[in-house]
Amino acid sequence: MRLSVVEHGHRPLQKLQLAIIGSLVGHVPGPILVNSYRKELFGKQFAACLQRGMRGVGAWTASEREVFAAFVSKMNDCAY
Amino acid sequence: MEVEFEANKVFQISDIGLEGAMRVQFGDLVIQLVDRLLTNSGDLPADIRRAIMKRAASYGGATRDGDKVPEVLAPFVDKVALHAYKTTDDDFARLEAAGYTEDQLFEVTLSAATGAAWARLDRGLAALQGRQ
Repeated sequence: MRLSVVEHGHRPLQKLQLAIIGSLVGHVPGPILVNSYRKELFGKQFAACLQRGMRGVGAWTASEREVFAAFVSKMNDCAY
Repeated sequence: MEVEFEANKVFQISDIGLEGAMRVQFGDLVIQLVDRLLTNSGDLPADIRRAIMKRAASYGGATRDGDKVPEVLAPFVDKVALHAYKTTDDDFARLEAAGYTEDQLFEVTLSAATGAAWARLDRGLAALQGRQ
């Protein structure tokens, strides 16, 4: 992360959760770091939007939405 | 409902076309996302966050009335809005050298990204709804 606070500035319980994620996955994905840092400002609400958009009622399946999201990310030159 | 949201000072919510089924599905969540970013206490003054969001959104066709983004931040805001993949360590180093803290830069980045995202949502909905 280019901002060290986003990588290391989380609350103690969050740090524990992130450490568990890191040990399971090998690293903590950037979006998780961003969404959990100062989450009252952005991440908590963004997570609600994400959940509704990617998993809520709709014409597309969750898998179709994930594929399209990956396509858009690629168009934006975004590794995620 | 729109006048209660801080987001309405940045975007013309009634123009974005978040109506009917789309608004029911996720519209209010999006508006609340913008509102929290604009109204929750932060290290950057709320009016700067608002200006950044408007500037980023302007590249999607939104108006840029009263843009007051500090000159030193403007290139970075534009880069996040238009070519986020081109951001480098130097971008952040330059802004930190100009006196911005990491928390302020976190808010700058979120505001720019959210403004740009809102503009894209508007354009996508406009395409679906056949409006300009």
